[in-house]
Amino acid sequence: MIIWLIFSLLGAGYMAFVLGGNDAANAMATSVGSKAIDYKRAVIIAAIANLIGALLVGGHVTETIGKGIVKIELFINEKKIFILGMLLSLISAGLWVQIATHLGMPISTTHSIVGAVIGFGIFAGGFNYVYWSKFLKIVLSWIISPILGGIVSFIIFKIIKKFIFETKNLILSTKRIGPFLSSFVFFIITLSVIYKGIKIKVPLFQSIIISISFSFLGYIITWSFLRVEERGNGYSQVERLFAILQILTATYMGFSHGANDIANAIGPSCAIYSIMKSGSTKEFLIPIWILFFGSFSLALGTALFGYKVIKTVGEEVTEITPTRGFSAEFGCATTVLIFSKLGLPISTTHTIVGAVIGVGIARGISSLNLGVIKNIVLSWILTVPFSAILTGITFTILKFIV
Amino acid sequence: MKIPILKLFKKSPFKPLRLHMEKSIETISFLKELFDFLSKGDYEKIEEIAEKIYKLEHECDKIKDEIRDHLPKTLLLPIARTDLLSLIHEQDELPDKVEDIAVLLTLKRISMPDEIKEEFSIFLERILDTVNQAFEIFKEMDNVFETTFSKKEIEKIHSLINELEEKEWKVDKKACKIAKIILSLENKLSPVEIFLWMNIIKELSTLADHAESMGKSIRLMIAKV
Repeated sequence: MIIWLIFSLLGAGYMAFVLGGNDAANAMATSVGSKAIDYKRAVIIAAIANLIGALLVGGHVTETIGKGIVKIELFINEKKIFILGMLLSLISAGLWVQIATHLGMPISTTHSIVGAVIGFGIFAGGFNYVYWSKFLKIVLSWIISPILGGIVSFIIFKIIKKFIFETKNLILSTKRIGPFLSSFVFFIITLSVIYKGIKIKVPLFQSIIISISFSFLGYIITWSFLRVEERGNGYSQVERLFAILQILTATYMGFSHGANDIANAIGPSCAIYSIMKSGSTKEFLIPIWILFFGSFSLALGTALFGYKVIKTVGEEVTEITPTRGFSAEFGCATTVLIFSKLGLPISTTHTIVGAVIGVGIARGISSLNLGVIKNIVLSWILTVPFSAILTGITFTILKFIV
Repeated sequence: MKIPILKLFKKSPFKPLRLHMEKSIETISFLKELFDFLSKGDYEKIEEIAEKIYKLEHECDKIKDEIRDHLPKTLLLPIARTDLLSLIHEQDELPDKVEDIAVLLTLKRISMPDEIKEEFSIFLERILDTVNQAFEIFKEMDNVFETTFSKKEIEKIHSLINELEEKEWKVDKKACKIAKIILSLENKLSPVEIFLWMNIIKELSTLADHAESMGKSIRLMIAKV
């Protein structure tokens, strides 16, 4: 049976590779686009932050993919069927991503893997093998996440407008508001890691206290970084200071991206491992070495293939400045991290699109093409049934061979 | 590879619009030479400059079409699309009018009466001043966008627009004065010459009118949504 696990790990590695190569570019687009960081730095930040986010917060969504969609306990007497199903879900999802990318559709691996797992559940046991209420929650999260990303970004950008651009001394205001905003980022990240964490579990009250301490630390660190001497009182100086702040939000993006998307790759493998290792299906295991293997593949994908996409994005996205990029990343990363904590697999790409549109609605960007929304909605409506059917067909055929 | 985020960002229409503005200014700056040669009676040079103006006007048209073609309704802009379209329309009237004036000067060889020479050069100066003011306002828009329509920057533009309106008014006044002189020369000039001069004066003062309208479009653009 160990051979199945190895297969699934190969699949997981491949999937993480694709994720790291492709999706990291979307996560880093607003940083390299605003020229806050160059593409080489973006690759390094994305790879490291992905790795850490996946390791520390990646477990929640992994559990959802592994046992939250298909009723794992119904397979207790047919472990082989379950293992095959999960493996095929992974392969079919990866295949569909390849096909769709080839066809030029902006699809998300998240939707693909969720569809695939559902397809396996239905074809293996019927409609009652799927947790439909959970599926409904996931679908709702796909609708809510871009909107929430947009709302948070809108608010952040309005804060920047009101407390910086509307003030007399722009630089002083930036140096005051910047550390304040970044202390929020520190607070949320710390809380996400320690409260109901994967390996670390701290009660709520203590978690909040610790997170507040870290946010103070973040405040001081940011404050000292922003102390650079800036002459004049122009708008370009504000942007230059925000370019420094964007290093933080870029890291935040990478962290959240890793936390949510690692599940797409390692969810099925962890499910296979769990059913193999434990006799019962009660316990869902996320072995640290699988988590590390997945996270490392993700980072490697970014480092080896992501740089090309990140470079392209950086060259072609020019209509964004650091204040805008900061707002969009803040909104997107916060949303993705919240959903990761809730164990809901969402698309980072769609959320950043929503976040950028939020800044656009706040009159922050000179021109955005809203036609892209139609494509995104269409592609995810297509992705779920397609990858479900693809999994179902391959599963039905291979069931007899195994 | 399809990267959704790449499809989301569109090139800003304000960059080609600025290019259009710069070319319009270049076209308008030929007016001075045009009338200098007219007062010297160098008609060949006038033809030469007219050709340059036609070429520039055509380039402006191309830029205008390019901007309009890339403004689908699905575009999210920080300003109303209709306001932007009306700004483009007004702005494109500038090179159009200069072309019309160049045509008028090549229709028939007329000369500039000595009586208006002095007033006319002030007139031209004021027109250029008005158009330049519109351009200054246009450039100030960058700051409005950068600060996402901060009150301070909007107020700055409002005061610049008020100045623009005053400049336009001065152009009109001068136009009236020159028209009066032309009409008073009814015994010296032929009816055809008077007809042409009246048209030239009219076309020239519409340049300032369009510059003023640009200001109005910009005022609407930056108003609260």
